[in-house]
Amino acid sequence: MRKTTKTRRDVLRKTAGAGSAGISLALAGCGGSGGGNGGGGGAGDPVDPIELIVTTQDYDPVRYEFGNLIADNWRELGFEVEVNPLAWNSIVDQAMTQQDFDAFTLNWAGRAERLDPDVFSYSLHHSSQTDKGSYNHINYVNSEYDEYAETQRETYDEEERREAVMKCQEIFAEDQPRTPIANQTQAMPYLEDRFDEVVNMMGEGLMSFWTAVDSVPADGVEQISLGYPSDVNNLNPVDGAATHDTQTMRLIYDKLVRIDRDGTTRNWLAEEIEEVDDTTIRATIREGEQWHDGEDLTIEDVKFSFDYLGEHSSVLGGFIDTLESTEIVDDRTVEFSFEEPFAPFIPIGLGQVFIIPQHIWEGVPDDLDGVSEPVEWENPEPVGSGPFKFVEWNRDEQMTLEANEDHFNPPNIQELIKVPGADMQSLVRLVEDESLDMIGWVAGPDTVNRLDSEVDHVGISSIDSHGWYHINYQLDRAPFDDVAVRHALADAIPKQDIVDIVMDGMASVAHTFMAEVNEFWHNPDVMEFGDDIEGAQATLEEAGYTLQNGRLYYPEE
Amino acid sequence: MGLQEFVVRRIAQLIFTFWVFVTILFVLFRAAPGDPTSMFVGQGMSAEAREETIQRLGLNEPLHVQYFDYMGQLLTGNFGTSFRYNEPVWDILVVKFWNTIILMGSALVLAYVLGVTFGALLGWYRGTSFERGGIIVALMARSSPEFWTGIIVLSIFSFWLGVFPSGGMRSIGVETTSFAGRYLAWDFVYHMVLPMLAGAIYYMATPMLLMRNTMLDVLKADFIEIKKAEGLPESQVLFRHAARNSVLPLVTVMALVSGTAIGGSLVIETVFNWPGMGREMVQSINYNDYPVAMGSFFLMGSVVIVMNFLADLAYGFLDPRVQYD
Repeated sequence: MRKTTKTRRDVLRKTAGAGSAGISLALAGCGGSGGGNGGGGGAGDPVDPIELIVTTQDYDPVRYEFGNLIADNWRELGFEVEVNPLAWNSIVDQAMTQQDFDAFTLNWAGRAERLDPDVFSYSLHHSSQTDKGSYNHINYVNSEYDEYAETQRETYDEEERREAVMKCQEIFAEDQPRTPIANQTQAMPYLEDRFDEVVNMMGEGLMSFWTAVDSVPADGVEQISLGYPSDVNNLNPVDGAATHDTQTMRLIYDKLVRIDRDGTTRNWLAEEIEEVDDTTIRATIREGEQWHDGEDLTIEDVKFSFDYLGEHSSVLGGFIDTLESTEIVDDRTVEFSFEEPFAPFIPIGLGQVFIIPQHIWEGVPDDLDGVSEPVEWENPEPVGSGPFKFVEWNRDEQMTLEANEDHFNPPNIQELIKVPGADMQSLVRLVEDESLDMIGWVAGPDTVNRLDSEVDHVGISSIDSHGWYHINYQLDRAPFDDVAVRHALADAIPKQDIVDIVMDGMASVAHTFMAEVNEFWHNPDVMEFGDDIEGAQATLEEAGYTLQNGRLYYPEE
Repeated sequence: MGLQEFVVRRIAQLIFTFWVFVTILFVLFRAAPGDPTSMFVGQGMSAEAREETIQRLGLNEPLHVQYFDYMGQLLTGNFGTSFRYNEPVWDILVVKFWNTIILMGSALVLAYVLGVTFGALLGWYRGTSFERGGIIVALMARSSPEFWTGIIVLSIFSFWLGVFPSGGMRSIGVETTSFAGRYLAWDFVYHMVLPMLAGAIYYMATPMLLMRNTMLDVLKADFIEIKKAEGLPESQVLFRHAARNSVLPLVTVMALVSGTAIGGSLVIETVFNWPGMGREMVQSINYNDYPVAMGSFFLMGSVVIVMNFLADLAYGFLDPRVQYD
């Protein structure tokens, strides 16, 4: 299985120092977070029991099932493992926010802005991101890794940046602070005869921006309906906490750049983006764009959007917190200045921040009754400049959007009806009886196979996701503070079985945080773990762990 | 104790019940794991954004301060603003409330009309194979899980016969007109038939079996024999005299069931993709959207409390033998 030329021993030696996260923390026993383990990895003691937190079966059968498979294999190595299924909000609260866990299963969703390597390499693994509620909830600290993660943040040259991202993946794989398991293949149903062409995108499938804008309906089809297993919460661009909300708002509101189907950035409302120097970027906008209410879109609107959202939106503001100022250069150009170089600013900053009309938002919240903060406004009839105009919305029934014919890139779909479902099954039934045209969510393997083989008029649009299923270890706690243990645990994970059996082949095995489908950033030459119980046993033995009556013991001093 | 004193005492009890109920709700939802940001942490909400949000919603205040704030708000009839919808709770619930009331109300009326009629007949034809068959059917309907009944109803009427739609409240792409126009449209009724049927099948058994039981008692009474001896037609004795005297226990059950009606049936709403209260309750709990969760449970609980109060009063009018003490 292993492609790398290094021996396990080399790696162990190399990572024994810098690599193993926070030795000093680990010596303090169960570091800081309380609860969990009574012991603390004393020499010659039995290895602390592991509580593996998984989702409930109905929330995500995949994570539930593979959690149990993994636990079985870990027990075979002599670990004492208890699988604990928790409700999703409990997992978020206990594991992601409080960092009070031994190990838990998770799936980073393949959102468009995560095609850029910054989120997965920096936000997830840089040592500055270990605060409660941040994404490095595993407390991975490695100064060598940090350097490369910072380099990819500060380097505008794509090749150089790529180099740093490759290095990050290499170190990550050697340290195994989390073990990637699989990238899901996202299969979504649609009605074949309603389209001439259906466009999808990695990570988002049929929910993507390009599906709505570039898909071509069949002749005479003016209305396309898109189902999703829940409804939008709100259409306030200042809020934007929910993925589904921003996926909907980006159809109504434009951005300076969009993330294209291949993961690169594409100029959108901006005609040109110029890197003046490594702390200054200029954007020139298209001429003659209008808001949906007929007002002209001006450069003041663009400056206003960055100022206003930077100040009032905790979510969008977070994407641009490195931004120092936005200044108008002339009537079509703005200049963004930063305190320090921030390479992902174009995809993550410009690609996320909505351009909103100043003539509407400057009066929010002051001119409104009962609204004290911009984020708390209902924004009942959103006015944007995007390819779709808002028509009407009845919560939990449907939302109607119509094509903006005056847009520089008008969509082929005349009218887009968004249909929320109570769950996936109710939507699948609607597609089967031909009242719904497509679903923007993953159908389970059984459903896909049935639709594919038994229902003639339904097609399946499939594409790999750059999101990744994985398992997290709390590196502050024994035995996870020992890289040898993490290697053994990772090797014992039956990745191929999980892909073949649990995910019914609709996935591919993953070894790194940048998926294979995200070609440019993916490192194919990292150390690979998994499907190797014997190797795992050998690793533990080499590191001095002993088996007594089937139970694993820490090495003697 | 007279009627007046009884009513006053019951009203005092009512107020106390409400206070206890709201307090329990408050504590219950706060005790649930997570907070209103939990659902969004996995969706890219940063630690800073999370802190800001919690502060903005006033959730970093001590619990008793939050409690008194909420109580004060409630006394002015304000249910607050939803954390995730950015809309007043009342505006959200009012739509779902009507969606649910119309569906569950129709289902319950249907269930009770059919249930009472068949229950009376079962009692009347005691010991026949008709009665035995009826009881078996009633028990089967009662013990089949709603989602199963729903899916069976769907597969027969929607997929096999193709006469009714498979879900939703309106056809996709149909624009709504006015608030009243939503419910007076044929399209709406057409979409409501199957969920109503599934609900009626499930709720029918209780009134049916209860009615049969009380009928059996009433039919033993002397006055029925006398009525029969008077030579009245059988149907008249059955419906005018026997059935009317058997309806009383159903009044109490009605009070309890109406709470269910407001809460909607999560299962039926899910199977038929009906935008009602049941789904909203579950969603708002999942999202820790306290104002919506408390508002919807408050609404549902209030109906049960008030209906019980009315049932207590109604008893006195329906049955002169009931004593107020």
